[in-house]
Amino acid sequence: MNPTAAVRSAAEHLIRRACRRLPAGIREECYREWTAETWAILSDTSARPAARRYLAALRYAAGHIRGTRYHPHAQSPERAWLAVPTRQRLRAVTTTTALAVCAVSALSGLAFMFPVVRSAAGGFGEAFGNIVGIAASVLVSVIFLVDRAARRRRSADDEPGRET
Amino acid sequence: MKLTGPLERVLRVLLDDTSAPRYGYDLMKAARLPSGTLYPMLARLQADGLVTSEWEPPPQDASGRPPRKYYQLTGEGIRVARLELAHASAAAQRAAPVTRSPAAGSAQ
Repeated sequence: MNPTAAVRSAAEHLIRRACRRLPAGIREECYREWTAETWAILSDTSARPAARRYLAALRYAAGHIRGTRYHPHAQSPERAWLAVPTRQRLRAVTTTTALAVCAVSALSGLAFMFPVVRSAAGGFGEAFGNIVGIAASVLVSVIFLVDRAARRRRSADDEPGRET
Repeated sequence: MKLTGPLERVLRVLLDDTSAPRYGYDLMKAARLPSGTLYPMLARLQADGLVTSEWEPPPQDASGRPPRKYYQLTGEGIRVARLELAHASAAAQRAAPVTRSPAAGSAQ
């Protein structure tokens, strides 16, 4: 792969990433438009040396990563988050932090209590605890794998510039 | 429409020759704006009906270059852009401090 093709490929990757923030209706069109511009930047031999063209193409593509956050049609969590008034954002951060602190405290409490309860319940309690523990870890792993596969399929379907 | 500095630059570039459609990278260079600023702005202008875009026909050369998208102000866009830029110029003139040299003052 020559340097121009490598830069084009990197730029297309950045543009594809940027386009993920756009709704499906305009994603493909933006991808086509921006990759065509990248192509033209890299073909512009009036810009010398070639490194200047490479830099311009990468800067152009990277700019879209930032730009799609502010795109009027962007439907990303970032844009939704930026649209929220500062006071509400502060409240949300405070609430999330408080909930996280509560969750960690609760888990710490359970971890502290579990050996006490197990020793009090005797042999049956220990076996039951092991079974529940194994079942929970298997369940969590299955949920994690299913969720990951679903995400991968969804992102492959939504990927601009790729035939599905 | 809130006229910001970058928007003013884009409108000035588009008003330079209203009959000539311009592609995005050309606008970026002329207005000296990064892609991350220009394209969201063009999308907003297009949503407001002030700018229209169209794809060029596929190039006939053997380079394999994909077709580009060209932007142009609409009739309403030209009217609004001229009005906004005139307002901005008037506001800038009002805001500029009146400086009068002592010689000019004594001559009157």
